[in-house]
Amino acid sequence: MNDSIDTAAEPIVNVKHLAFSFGEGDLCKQILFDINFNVFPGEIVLLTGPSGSGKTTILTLVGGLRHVKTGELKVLGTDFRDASVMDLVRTRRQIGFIFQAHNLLDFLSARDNVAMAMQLHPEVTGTESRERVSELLEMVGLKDRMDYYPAKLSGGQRQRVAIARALVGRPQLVLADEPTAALDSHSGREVVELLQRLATDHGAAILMVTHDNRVLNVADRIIEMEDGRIKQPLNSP
Amino acid sequence: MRSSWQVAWKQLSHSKVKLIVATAGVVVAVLLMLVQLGFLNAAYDSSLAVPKRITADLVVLSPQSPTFATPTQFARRLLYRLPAHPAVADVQSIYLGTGRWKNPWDKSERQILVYGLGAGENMLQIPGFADAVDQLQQPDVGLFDRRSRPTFGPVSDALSKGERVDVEVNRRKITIAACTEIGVTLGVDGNLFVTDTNFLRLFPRIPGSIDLGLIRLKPNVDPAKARDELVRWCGTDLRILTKAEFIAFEKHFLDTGAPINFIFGLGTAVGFFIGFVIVYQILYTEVSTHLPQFATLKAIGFTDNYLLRLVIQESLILAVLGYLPGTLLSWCVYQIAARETQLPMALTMFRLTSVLALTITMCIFSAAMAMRKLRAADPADIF
Repeated sequence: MNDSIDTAAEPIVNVKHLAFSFGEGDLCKQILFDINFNVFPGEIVLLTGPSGSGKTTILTLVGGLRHVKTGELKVLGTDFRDASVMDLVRTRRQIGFIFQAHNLLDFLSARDNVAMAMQLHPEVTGTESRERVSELLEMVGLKDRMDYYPAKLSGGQRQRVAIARALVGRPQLVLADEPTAALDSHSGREVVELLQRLATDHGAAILMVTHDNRVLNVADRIIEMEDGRIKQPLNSP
Repeated sequence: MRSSWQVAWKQLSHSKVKLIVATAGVVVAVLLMLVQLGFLNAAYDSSLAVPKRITADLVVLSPQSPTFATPTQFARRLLYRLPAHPAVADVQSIYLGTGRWKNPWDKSERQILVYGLGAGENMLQIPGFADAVDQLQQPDVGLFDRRSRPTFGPVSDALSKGERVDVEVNRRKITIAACTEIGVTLGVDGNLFVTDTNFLRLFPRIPGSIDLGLIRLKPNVDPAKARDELVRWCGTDLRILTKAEFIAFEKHFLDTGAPINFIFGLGTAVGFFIGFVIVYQILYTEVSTHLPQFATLKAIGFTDNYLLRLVIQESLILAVLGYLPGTLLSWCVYQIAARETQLPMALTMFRLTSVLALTITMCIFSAAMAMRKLRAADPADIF
């Protein structure tokens, strides 16, 4: 269990009566119904459930990639309900995103892919940003492959570059969508342990969608979804 | 990796083949635009070379002459009436005729424009004419324009070697006394200058039938006002123009009588279009193959503007990369073209900057078209 969780603190993610639907009028299809949960600093929360249960939609909403229409959603102190596009973009810069597909830029080396994300943090000096990039790539075990292009890296290595890219801006919140789905059990385990270490070391909260039973034991809390509702907020195993 | 320029450059240079193709597209565009504009300007500059050498205040033509180089004759007595006007100081008549020049080296025949000038002071400045006037007054002697096309034979070289050059013009033997430098046009391949007496030997005609009249006005007379009064004397028999009007008249003939504006303008447009299509194609492929990655960049907090800037920067890099070799190649083409055609091909600063501006416009235009695709990158779709 993670001792650094501070449930007395302000939650990093605060979801109240959140509902969401796609489409308009007759074609309107409701995806999420009355979702309520909080994520506190340093906490690892897993979202599980069958396909189509709305897990990824929650992730896109918390990530500020879709607009909230019904209910309340506060992320890192920003109320997403009446946030402007620019507010959403600014909040996204403080979130680390890890996608199922790594989506690295093929024309940039591992180092440059990570360094590019530092363009979003102009307040960090050039030297410091270079140090952080090397430090993170070392941490994800790619010390010897920093100048490799994605085409020359294995799937697990690419995913680790993507994780380094997500973490280089020192986010307070990491949103991960099945980060282990494309990996073998060994690499998958490594990636999850890396995320766990991050949560403890930097006090970042992690909200992760996963189907992978192998990683359930790292969670502080598991939220199980079914048909757009939270089935029952299980306490940690 | 602190600036989007670096990212733009890395994206462009990642595939060397693509970079070379895109740059080559810009090079071709720059080359076509510079060369076509060069010919267009050469056509204008060369056609105005002789009119600009006129020092007279007023120029007299037949109303039927579309341009001074293909004149309709008019009666010299009409011109000789004009000194009766108090504003007129002096008049001069000039004969013009297209003769057949037989190249004495390869015996081929070419058309040459022959000017019959007075032996005294001329209101048409031909360098070297006054110096050689003693020789030119001998029967059948002429002054040759060394910037005539090479097909007329190596007249200038032979003269400078001290050889005697006898050629055949209109079946008469003419001795070339010296050379001058005037320049040819798209319509005129060569120039020969002779005295009026020698002209009439080459072109037997009534001496009173002339092609061009020049008028010098008395000092402090307004040319436009004098022109108006002289026109009232002559009615529709003569076209009287001030020097500025005469140059405008020649320009107008080029604009309307010869389709050079259209031809070279079209060539320039084709160059622009080729560059546009190639750059657009390359940038469009770059954007569309990287849509998921660009969507990811948007998701992690890069703005639309950042990505638009990236594409524009790529297009600007291509503009600069293609412009430099394009100009260098054009310079070579100018040298060759100037030697082959004897047209005045000069790579002016003005043309260099205009083509740079056109190239940048072309590339930004391509980028603008290519990035319409960027809007399709929806960050919500990548989870």
